[in-house]
Amino acid sequence: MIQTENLTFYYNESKKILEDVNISFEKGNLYAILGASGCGKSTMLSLLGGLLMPKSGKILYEGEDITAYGLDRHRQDHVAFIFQGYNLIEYMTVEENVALTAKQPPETALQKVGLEKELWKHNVLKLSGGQQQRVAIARALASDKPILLADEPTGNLDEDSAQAILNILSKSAHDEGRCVIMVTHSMALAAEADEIYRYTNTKFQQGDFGPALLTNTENLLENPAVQERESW
Amino acid sequence: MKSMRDMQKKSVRAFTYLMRRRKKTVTLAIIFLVLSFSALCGMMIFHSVEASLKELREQFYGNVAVNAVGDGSSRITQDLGALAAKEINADGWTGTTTCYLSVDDISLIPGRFTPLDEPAMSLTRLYSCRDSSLARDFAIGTLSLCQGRHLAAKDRKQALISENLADINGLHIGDRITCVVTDDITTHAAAGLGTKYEFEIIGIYQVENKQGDSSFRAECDILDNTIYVDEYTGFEIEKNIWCIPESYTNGLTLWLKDPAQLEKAVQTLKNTQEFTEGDFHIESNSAEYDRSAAPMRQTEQILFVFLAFISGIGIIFLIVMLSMWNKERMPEIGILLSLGYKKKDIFLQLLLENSALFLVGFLAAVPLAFFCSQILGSLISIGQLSLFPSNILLAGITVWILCILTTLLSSIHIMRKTPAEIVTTII
Repeated sequence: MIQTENLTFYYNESKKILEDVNISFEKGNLYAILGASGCGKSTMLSLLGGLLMPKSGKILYEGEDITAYGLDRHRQDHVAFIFQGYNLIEYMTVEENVALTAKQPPETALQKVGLEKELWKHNVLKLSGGQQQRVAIARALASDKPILLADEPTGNLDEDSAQAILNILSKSAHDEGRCVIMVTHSMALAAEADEIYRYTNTKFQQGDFGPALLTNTENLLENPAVQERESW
Repeated sequence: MKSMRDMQKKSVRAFTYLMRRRKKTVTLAIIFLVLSFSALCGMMIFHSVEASLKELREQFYGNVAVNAVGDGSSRITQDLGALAAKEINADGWTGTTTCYLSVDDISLIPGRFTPLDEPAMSLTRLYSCRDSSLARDFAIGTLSLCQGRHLAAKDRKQALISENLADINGLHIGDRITCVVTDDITTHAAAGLGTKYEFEIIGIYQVENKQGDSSFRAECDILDNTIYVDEYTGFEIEKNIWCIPESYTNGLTLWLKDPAQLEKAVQTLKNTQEFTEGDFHIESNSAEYDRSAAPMRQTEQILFVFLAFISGIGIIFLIVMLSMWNKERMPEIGILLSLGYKKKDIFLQLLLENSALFLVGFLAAVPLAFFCSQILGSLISIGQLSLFPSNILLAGITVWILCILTTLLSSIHIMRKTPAEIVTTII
């Protein structure tokens, strides 16, 4: 569905973040990109989502280069983002936030994420973190886009809420055939994914990482290039 | 259809924002109200002053004076006067000739020669003119006809005298006065000594601007003693005394309703073959109009400076406020970009919000400006302060353009950022 071809990206040429990355994501799967906080895995998500332009190489959606297709159009037609900080528009209600992208009625998406109906007319700031993240996911689902890019979607949530969110994402991939790519530093969360990519030293490694590795996230590679350049 | 739907969505978002951010909405609406009010007042004052100036111009007219200069070979004849009037499309013209004669049978208003009992005490100035209503003193309002009629080109041996002169001599319309060529006044006269000219009084004028103490003036310099006579007789007197052909020795005065056209008229005459450069002096005169218009212009300028100051402050305030608010809205813009909105869509939403507030402010400013026009009109006495639909439309367009520009300027720093830079603020 979406793949990279020799994808290279850097803010400073001498310190590359991604170099010749070839990776492929298919629909109907939930992917986890694993890496320590601030290592640059979000950069990958931004590239896939058309927020950043590759320095070299290509990102292909259904075989078509997204740069040629137009990054604005790519974001509009193919990808929906879910952020750790929910990123809801704070002066809007639940329904209004979901309606921002809705290609299908907001109600359907809100029901899918299991948000109680009496909350729909509430201002989003009056909801708990878990509820806000559900709204954010409902907004992404309502846009009916084939790719969901989730950046630490459970980072601010308690265990129960995190599990609930993960279930929604998993259902979205498996039942609705979306390609869900989730960036996380949580081993537990990554373990639920169909495939895991580990980000290490400008490259991605695909595979089944052993429990020892999965439980020691702090030892995952931290890329100094990215840590130097936090702001885009 | 899709663009209509998009516009509807943008309008809903804009409306939602305005309704949920009431403080900002009210502040911005007030700024737009002040700007709209300033623009409306500016238009109103400009229109009013222009209307008053137009009235003033029509009241004062302006004139182009043509005089023969040089060695005396050039003369301004009736034909030349008619040609000049035609060339500049004058609203009226007259030629004048001045001569000095003694009055035989009446007493003049006493001046400095009367106590001395000198012959000059009977000497007065005769203005012969083609049309006395267009003679300078009548045209600018120094003199005004109070009885009878003005002199016209067809008149023969007819005269206008002042009300004071008529009073002290018991003269009325239809009475006759006699003027004579005397040696005292025509020391250089070539001929005609002792010749008498009898005039029928056809009009009486009064002097609007009194000259004050006349005891130090020669009798002939006292306005009340001036006698206006027909041009035919004027030419005859000139011919008899100076043996010169018929001409307006004091030149032509051509009147234009709009003093703004004076310079163009002067240029036209200068370019006319008959008015050879060096033989004629041509100049414009709108001094009376300029004098009367000056306070009005000053009032207009002061008000404009005041309104420009308010508008300037308003615009700066608007740009600063919008820039700050847009900066605060960076996360929202980032979210919209990540959802696939284009910068153009976001800018249009900002513009819709500001335009809606401009509309509210403007609609409130119109009745306010109407109300203030009444008060302002009585305070600054430039009259006719009223709003016309064209003023309202023009003011509306001006402030709306301002609204677009300020929206553009205040969002430029956001629009220049890449989507990634903006989205960073929300991650």
